Order: sequence, then structure tokens, then C-alpha cells
Amino acid sequence: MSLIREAIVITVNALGEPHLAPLGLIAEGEGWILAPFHPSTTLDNLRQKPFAVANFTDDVRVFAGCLTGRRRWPLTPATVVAAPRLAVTLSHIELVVVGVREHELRPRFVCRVAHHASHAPFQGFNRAQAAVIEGAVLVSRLHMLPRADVEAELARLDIIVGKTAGPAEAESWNWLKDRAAQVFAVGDSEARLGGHPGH
Amino acid sequence: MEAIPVIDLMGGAVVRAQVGDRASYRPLESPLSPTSDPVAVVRGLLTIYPFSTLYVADLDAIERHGDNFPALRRIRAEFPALQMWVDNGAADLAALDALIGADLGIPVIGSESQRDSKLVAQHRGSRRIVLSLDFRGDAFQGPGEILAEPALWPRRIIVMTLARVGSGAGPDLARLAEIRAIARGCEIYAAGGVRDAADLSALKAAGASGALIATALHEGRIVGTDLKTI
Repeated sequence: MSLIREAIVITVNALGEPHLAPLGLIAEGEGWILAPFHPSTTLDNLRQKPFAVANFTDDVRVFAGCLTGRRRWPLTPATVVAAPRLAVTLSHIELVVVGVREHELRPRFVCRVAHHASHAPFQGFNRAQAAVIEGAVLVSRLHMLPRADVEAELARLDIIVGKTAGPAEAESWNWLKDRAAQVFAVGDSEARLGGHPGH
Repeated sequence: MEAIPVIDLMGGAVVRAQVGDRASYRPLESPLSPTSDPVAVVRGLLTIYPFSTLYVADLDAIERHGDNFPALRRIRAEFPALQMWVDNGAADLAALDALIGADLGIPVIGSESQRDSKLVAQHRGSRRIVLSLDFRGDAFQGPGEILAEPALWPRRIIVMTLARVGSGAGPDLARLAEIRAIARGCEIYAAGGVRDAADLSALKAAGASGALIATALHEGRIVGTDLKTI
């Protein structure tokens, strides 16, 4: 088992245009492994430009936003790599790919830390932030998980958010709940139109 | 065979190679460019032929007197399709990452800049870097273990004969053949002494995948039609 840290990973395409995506960084030695799924923009970008910035932020709106079509967050240039970092983040690391372990579905990009910096203090744990991260993982896998399981899990997390969220956490949570409801509504109407009751 | 033009950067300007003696380098004067500004020189080179790769030696970085990153960034911004091979004297992973991470090109690891074979060994069979085997006269420059262990080499190798850089003596075909014989599976690029189209033909016949050219381009001894036919 390996330690995984949830980060906002920023890569760039051949034109230098940035792409933000929530991704789990897998710890390996002194470096990190990026394992984006195929197909994804992060994967395409790493093939063309072998470097990235991983942002460690407690602003969970960025995680929820990236999964619900809200990818425009303020950016600022990084220090050594030609990709930007989040303008507001507790810390960030700048990664350079040193090798690729090929895999059809999930190639693993082995990265070295070329630079790291802290920008703001850690504020302490917040259960609503953790709940939003869990909710974001669920929403990123709606097409893979049974609906009943997702709904039960969201209902459980909803209680935690209700008890411990600040405004940013509450806003993020609503984005995620709306997205799940939309996807399920589309699924319902497709089921009715397609005549597959019970599936 | 691929022809790769070479520029040497010092203090933000392109300087002219003089038989590998770096202390005597002066700003480049070339009919291809009105000034020694790197962007102007590269633009001039590209009027001869649409080169896909440019070799850049960052002499300040190699001599550990700062670097020419601002000039590299300007070339990258002006000619985004041009691949750059950059020798910045890298002797550790941090110096390689600085180039790769800044999107400035493929690092060239010069044997003369290495203390041991460690950095080379970390890139066995890789296309992430290019290894330059540097010779001055008959003497290999750098740790002997690099020359002795072809199994550690990356996919692309430059055979750099420094005494012939800018000397008009012609390429060192014997050295090329010697390296080619031990570097199985590698692509070999010749550097140093290329005078004219006949030299390019000779290198091609000797099995070179490419040749690095500088002086002959500025002196008009190699022109666009020579490059189309190789």
C-alpha cells in the first residue's frame, strides 16, 4: 500500500494551455507517481510536456469545481516548470517526469520534485472538507458505481457537511450533489425512453 | 541523415566557435544575421533550411557562470516547433530537470561535464537525454567509465571532436566508426569539423544519423540544396 495525497494537478498542452484536474499523487521514494486514466487531458499533456504542478489546497471548491465544469481558477507562474500553479494554495510542488511505466488504462509517470514551496499555514482538519473530497471521488466515478451505493454514501456525507461546513465547503457540496442528481435524472429518463425497467 | 545547426551562447549572445578554445570566443558575425542576438541568428539559420532541431551550447552554464535561460526562452517562444538540444553542463538530475521542466528542450549530457557515470546510467536506453562523448584530439574528455560502458548509453549519442570544432580539418570519421561499432542500437550524431556537402555524404556513408554544423553554414559552404539531398 502507498500513501496517496489528493492534489490539484496542473499540466499544459503543446500550446502551453493549462489544464486543472484533481488527482491522487502516489508516494514513491522521494518522488511521486502520477497515474491519470486513459483517456484524459492530463495524460495527453504529460505525453507532450513531461512536467506538472501539484497544488495542495484546502479550498475544496477547486476539487468540486473541476468535476462540475468549473475549471477556471486564478493561476500564477510556477518557479521552475513551464506550467502555472494555483494562485491560492497552501503549498505546491513542481514535478518533472523521469520515466513512464506503460499501462493500457493507467500509465504511471514517475516524477521527481524539482521545486516545492509553502504559501499559507495549514488551518487544521475540517470534516466537511474531507467529506467534499470523498464526494468528489464518488462524483468522478458515477458511471462506474451502483447508484444505491452512491446515494447512501452521499446521504452519510451530507450529515457531516451539514454539521461542520463553512461557506466554501457548503458551496462545493451543493455543486457535487447537483451533478449527481443531474446524472441520475438523465439515467432515469434514458431508462424510461429505452424501456429497460429495473436497470 | 539529419543536419542540426549549432549555436554557442555566452552572455545572452551567440558567439563563434574557435577550435574549441572557449576563452577566445567572440560575438558571432555572420551574413545570415544582422546581429549576434540568438533569435536573429536562429531566424537566419532557418532561412537556409527548415531545420527541425537546434543544438545550443550554454557556455555560461557549462563554465558555471550563470546561464542563458532568458535567451533559450526567447528562442522557444519565437520558434515553438523547433526542438532544442541543450548542453548546459548538466552533471546532476536537478540541472536536467531545470531544462526539461522549463520546456526548453532535451538536455545534452556532455561527458566532459561528468564526475562519474551515474547520471548517464540513470538514462540507459532513454530518449530523455542525449549523451555527448567529448574528445579533444585523441583524448576522451570525462570519466573513462562512460566510454567503457556502452550498455549504459541513452539512445542518441553525439561524437564530439572538440579539436575539430571550427578548425576546417574535416570530421573524424575513424572516431565515428569506432563508436558506432560499440554503440549497438544507438543513433550517432557527428559533431566537429564538418566543412561541406562532401563531409555530410561521408558521414552518412559512415552510418551517422545526423551531423552538427556551425561554421560551414555561416560561411555559406553548406547551403539549402546540400541539406535537401542528404
